[in-house]
Amino acid sequence: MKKNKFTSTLLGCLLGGLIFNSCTNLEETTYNKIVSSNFYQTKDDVYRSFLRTFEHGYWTVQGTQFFLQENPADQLMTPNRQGDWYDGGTYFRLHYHTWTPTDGYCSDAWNNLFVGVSLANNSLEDIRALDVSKFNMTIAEQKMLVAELRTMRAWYYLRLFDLYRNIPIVETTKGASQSPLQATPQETFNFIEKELKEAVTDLGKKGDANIVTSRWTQAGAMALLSRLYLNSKVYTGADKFTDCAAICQDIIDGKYGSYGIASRWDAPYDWNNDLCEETIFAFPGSFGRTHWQYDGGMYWWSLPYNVNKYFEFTDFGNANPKYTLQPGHDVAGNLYNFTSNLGQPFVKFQKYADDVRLTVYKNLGNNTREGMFLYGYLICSDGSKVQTTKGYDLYIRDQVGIFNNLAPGQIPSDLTSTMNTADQNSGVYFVKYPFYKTTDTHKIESDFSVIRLAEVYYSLAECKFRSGDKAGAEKLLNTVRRRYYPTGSSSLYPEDGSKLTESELLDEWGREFLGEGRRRTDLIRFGKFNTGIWWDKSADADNHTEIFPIGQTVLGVSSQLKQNPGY
Amino acid sequence: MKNVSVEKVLNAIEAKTTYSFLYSKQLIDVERKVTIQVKNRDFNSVLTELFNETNVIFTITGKQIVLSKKNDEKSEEQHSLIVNGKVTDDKGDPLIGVSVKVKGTTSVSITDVNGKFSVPALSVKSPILVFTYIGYDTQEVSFKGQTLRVALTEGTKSLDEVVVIGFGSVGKRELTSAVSHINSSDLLQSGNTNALMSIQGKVSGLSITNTGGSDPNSGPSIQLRGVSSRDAGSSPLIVIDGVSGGNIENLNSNDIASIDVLKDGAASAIYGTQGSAGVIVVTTKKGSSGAMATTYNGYTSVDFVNHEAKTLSAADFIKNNRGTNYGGNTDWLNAVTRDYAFTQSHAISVSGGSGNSNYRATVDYRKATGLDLRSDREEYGGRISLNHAPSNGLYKMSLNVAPRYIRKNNANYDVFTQALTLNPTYSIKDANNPNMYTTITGSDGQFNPVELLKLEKSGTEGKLLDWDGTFKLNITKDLSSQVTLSQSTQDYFDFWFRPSTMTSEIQSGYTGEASRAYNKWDHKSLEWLTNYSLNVNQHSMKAMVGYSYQYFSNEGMSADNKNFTSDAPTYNNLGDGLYQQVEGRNGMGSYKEDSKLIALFGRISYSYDDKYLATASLRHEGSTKFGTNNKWGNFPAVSVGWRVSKESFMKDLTWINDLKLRADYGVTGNQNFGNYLSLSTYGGYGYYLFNGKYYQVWGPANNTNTNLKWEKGKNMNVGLDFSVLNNKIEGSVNYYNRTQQDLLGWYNAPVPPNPQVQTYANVGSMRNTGFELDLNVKVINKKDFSYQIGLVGATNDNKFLSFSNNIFQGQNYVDMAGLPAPGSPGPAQRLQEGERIGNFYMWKFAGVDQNGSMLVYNKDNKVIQANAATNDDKRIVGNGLPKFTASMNHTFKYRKWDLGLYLRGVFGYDIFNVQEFYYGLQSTPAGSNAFASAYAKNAAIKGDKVLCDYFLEKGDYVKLDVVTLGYTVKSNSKYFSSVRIYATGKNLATITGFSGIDPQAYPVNGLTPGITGGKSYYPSTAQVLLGAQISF
Repeated sequence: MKKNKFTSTLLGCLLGGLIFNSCTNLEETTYNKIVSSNFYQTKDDVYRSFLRTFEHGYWTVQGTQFFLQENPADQLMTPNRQGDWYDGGTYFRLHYHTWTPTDGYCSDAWNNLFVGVSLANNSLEDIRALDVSKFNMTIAEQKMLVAELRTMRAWYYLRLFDLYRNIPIVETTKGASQSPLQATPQETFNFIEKELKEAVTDLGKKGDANIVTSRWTQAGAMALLSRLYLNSKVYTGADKFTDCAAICQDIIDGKYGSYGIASRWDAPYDWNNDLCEETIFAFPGSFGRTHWQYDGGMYWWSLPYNVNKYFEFTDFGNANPKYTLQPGHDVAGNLYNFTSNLGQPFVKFQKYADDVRLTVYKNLGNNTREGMFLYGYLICSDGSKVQTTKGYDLYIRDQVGIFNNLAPGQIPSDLTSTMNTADQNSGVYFVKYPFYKTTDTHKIESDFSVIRLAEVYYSLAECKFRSGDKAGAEKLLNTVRRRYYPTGSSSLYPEDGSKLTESELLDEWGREFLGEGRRRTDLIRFGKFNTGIWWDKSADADNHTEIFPIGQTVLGVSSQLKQNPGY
Repeated sequence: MKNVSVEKVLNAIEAKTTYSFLYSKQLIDVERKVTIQVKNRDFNSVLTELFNETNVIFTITGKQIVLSKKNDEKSEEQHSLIVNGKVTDDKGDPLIGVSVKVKGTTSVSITDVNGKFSVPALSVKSPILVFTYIGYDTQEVSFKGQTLRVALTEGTKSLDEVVVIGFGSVGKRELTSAVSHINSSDLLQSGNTNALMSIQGKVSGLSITNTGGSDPNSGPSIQLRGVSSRDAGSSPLIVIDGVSGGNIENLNSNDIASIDVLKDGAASAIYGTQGSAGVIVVTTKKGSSGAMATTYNGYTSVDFVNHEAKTLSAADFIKNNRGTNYGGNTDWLNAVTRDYAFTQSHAISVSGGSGNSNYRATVDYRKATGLDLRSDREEYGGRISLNHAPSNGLYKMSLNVAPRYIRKNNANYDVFTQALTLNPTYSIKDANNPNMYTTITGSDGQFNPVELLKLEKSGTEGKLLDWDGTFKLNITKDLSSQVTLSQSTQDYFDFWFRPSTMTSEIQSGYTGEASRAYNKWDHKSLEWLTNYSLNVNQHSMKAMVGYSYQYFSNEGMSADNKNFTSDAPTYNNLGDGLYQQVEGRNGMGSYKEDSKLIALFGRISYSYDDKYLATASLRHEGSTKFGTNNKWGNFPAVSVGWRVSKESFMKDLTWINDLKLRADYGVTGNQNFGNYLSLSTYGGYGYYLFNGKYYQVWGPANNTNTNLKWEKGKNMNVGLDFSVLNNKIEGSVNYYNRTQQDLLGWYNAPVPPNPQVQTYANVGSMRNTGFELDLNVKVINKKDFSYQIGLVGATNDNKFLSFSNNIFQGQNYVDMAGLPAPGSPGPAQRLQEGERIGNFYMWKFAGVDQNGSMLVYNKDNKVIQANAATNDDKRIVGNGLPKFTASMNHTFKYRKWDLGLYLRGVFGYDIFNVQEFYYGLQSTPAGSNAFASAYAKNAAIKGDKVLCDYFLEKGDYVKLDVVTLGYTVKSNSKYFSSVRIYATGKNLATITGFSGIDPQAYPVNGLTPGITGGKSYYPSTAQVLLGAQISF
């Protein structure tokens, strides 16, 4: 009997255990994540969610989104440098306009930018649905957050529209499993226009409390609208230069806040550029946190190896020569003469020899610098020359070829100059955002300027030029250009309309916005992207490469999407 | 003891002593009631009293006491005939305790210590005697009037083996599924860290590979019957002593009694969501009754590099104008490599026990150095096993405890890559400043590998603890219930440090860098099993039901800092560094995750007359990881067996000793993936400035997938087990067909509307099929000389069936095996719907042009310049997944000598020679070293490397993998009872057409077989080992 009792007690315990919920409970406990329905507890949580797409947006300025705008154009290049950067020919295809939907970057840019759209949608859905009184937030502030998110989303859309043209318009994230069909270019144009126009009423204005350059403001939204209008002809076939001009004039006139053109040429890129009068919208960089324009996807890879010693900036290890300027001279040193007058970016700068930017970049200490380019020998403070990683002294030339250890002026036997025949000496480097010395207190502190007032001036100048007001255009351009040349320099336009041609205007876009991720768009607007020839690039057979194909991996999971024509 | 049966008394003696009785109930009347004093008495006198005045005599041989009947004159007269004889084994040694029965009568006897017997044959005219003995074939002999001399042949030993299956064990005869059983005596002897390396190639269909075999801290990759998953784990579940999820790293191979590999779905379905990749069941050695026995096992081994890569010497480097001459002359491979890697291992086990309790305890110590200058591993551990059952057999308790401490210094595989690529005219030390190493930098992250190994510290300290305790209650003779509690826990405390004096630190401007990380894994479980068995006539039935609760957790933290005051405290004073004092940095992190698995399961086995066998099982299991729509799954299995050899129509086919046909089907699952992937969660990302303050931004951490569930495996297996020609040849053949569906993985998701580019989801299916052969041939089996051959072979055919389901559609391939800089050539393989995994997808080589630039075929098969080719011109040019693997084992025994020769081969696949691709051409980046082949075999190619099939080679190889020669001495001296001394050579010779390093360094498991993930590698070695096993 005793034995049976023991047995039944044991069995009872174990069976009883099964009935208790804990023995069959499969709820998950999260530790370092939060279940989304529990997320919003305080006002700060609302900000944290609101800022998610901004943080992502900063990341999207570099990497694929940057090189898709630069490498297929006539200023920057990523050649094969003695075995480095060949990457299966992927950058060759960008240069030659021979990419196909299977090239990874065609999918990457789509995904990266649409993730930003989805994150904005997600926060919009959350924040619109919140009872903000529970978070000690005013309805006005809620409206402003919503308007900023809509502007952020419009910024992504504008870039997707420019790269792919035929895109779906999606305004929800939660519960959706597939995107709708692609909108027509006109529908997308209308959508972006509507979003920006509706947002602007709720957005803050420069000078209001807490309104800083890292937030979308009325001026920022209107500048985006000016970009849409400036390129309208390309996007929809209908030109909107008049509307563009009107908006630009409003911004310049201070309707959306007081902005100005910096008098010091490097101020828009300097460590305190968030306070620069020229900055309309910029992502906040800091040395200790994010600083995406300073990373490998952008300007840290626009520098020669071992430049860290020359900069006396050692915090990032070694730089990498992924992007340099395309050459202005052939291997023998003769100036190229491309019939389309494109390319040769450094030569275009040298056209105005008194340009302050033409000085070799140098850190002067105490958070200051001079010059915007690296060329020739780079002499370090100890008198040594910067070395390549191939064992020869770096002598940077405005040429592409295999020079190795050849002294300046010496010509190698192989005169080939193609994407496949570059060494580390090939191509001038540019330094817009300063890499101050490791010991400087404001190193790597610049914000990344997405919209500068200079762009508004240039857009308005182009509208005036197209409407025949060349003198007005020259005057506007000079407003910005004045900072590059000595007072009274002949490099400044005469402001009578006698100097500015279409070609000069395009060159001037190139000089002002070199390496800022917009050259492809400008070439297309000027009709040069497919017809033009430049270094190691002949004219395209047709203009289907004016927009990118939807990448194979994107099409793979969204089979309702239609591939762009010609691919 | 009062008025008890003789049997009770005998049982009591058995329980109190180490002796056991051998008798036949038909001969000895054990039901007879006696009253006898047994306490404090010598059992000999008890026995004498017990059988006084009976016709029973007892003989003591070793630990056995044989009871037999006296051959008294009287009884002889009563019967017409007494048959006398002697039974031996086939070597002539007497067999004790063989049952001898006169066919058709109740007359039975048992052989005595000399193998002799005499049995009354009553009035049978021509009696037939039946001899049966465990482990030997039953023999029938006609008596023809003289003293019989019978030699029994050893039976199909393996058929009597007990095979451990999920939650129980079964005799091999009754087994209805594909399970491979390996005894400790069959383990390969080599100085490996991981115990499972000792069955490499031994089990058909089980692929065990270690591409860094001579790195003392490198663990093997284990894969059964082809790759079983896309992204979730595809290593078999490890079960140690019935506890699932055991830690193989905490197992000293000296403690292994046997390993059973459950290969088919029916066997592994009882493990439900953990069974899809098969199950490896390890049984450790237990104590046995008797005096304490002590065994020492030890070895030392040395490893030498073989298959060394051939780079240009300094002289050839200069001659070929590869780069600047810095004046030195360094053989970098030699410089980063030790002359040999040295391992020593020692283990001592003691075991013993009484009838009620037994124990076994092992302690082991092992120290191994790697081939690179830094890596080593030192560990010590123990394993204690205690078992107790009272004499009434009401319950049984057992406890296993295994602690271990490990300290490792990590290898750095990149140092070998550096050794291949560095300019040989660099000196190791700076000529101008001999205290410093030469500063080496380069576009591809070059560094001074000798300096790194000498000055950088990188390693970990591990503490492992595995324990389990079981209480089993025998409710009735046929019904028992048991509860097992277990825990397997691992803590690793990593360290890393670079002093300020390293040239890389001087380059980067840091004055020292250091980090520490603490990571813990823990697995606790409770299992409750109830077993019932029933035997009625020829029907035999076993039933089992169980409940399982498993809790997994892992957590950890890490911290790093740079720029320290001094190098002296190394990684022991992280707070001293200035680096993390910069605003916006914090240099720390912590995490925790957990999950639960809960299951109810049951199994019924039935057999009729040992002839028709059937088993059915079901597991109902749920995991916290699954989405709300799919929390629980069912995993059924059935298997049937037919022992054809037991049928009467097979009687005349005497050359067939045993023949069994089997078929089974089972559904398995896989839940080996990350936590919280089904939930809608927000996670923290980077920082953004807002209202003058930095906020960490939070947003969707993943695409919500409430349908997330287990990966489902549908497994079919048919097999044949046979034993023929007096059991000289035995083996089995299996065919399997396994379809894995709802494959888990990160799948590209439509963006928009999703906030993340990939969703963790169940998409697509994959099929593996194959034949497996296991064969064991006793070529010669004499007393002084025996020779056995073991043969194992397996084919594997794989097809990725589909890449889509209702939700995820369209994308029918994924590019895999991306190759790194310089030149970042991109993916080398493509996983594609309708294709075998491991397809090399690249351009097809079409020769070179007059400049030596590579040409390829475009999609229209026209020859074009390689740098004009697009992705559309790529195609399938080969496959890296072996079609056939095989091994062959020859075992010779001659008197005191034993010799084992073990050959292993892998066939029918291609390898992409990554090193030849990166270093085998003259266009290898200037300043870098190249292989001699760049100026010989590949001299015609002057242009850049192109990702094409020029670098694809046949990977097939056959290895003389293990050779062991042993010598055993037995002794009656007081110092030891037996000593075996042995020498083993490992990886002694390879026959292959592959021109690169050892083909074994390329993986054959996983989703990208035939290619290494990057350029890094660890040299392959040949090993010589000397060992001793001493029993006291």
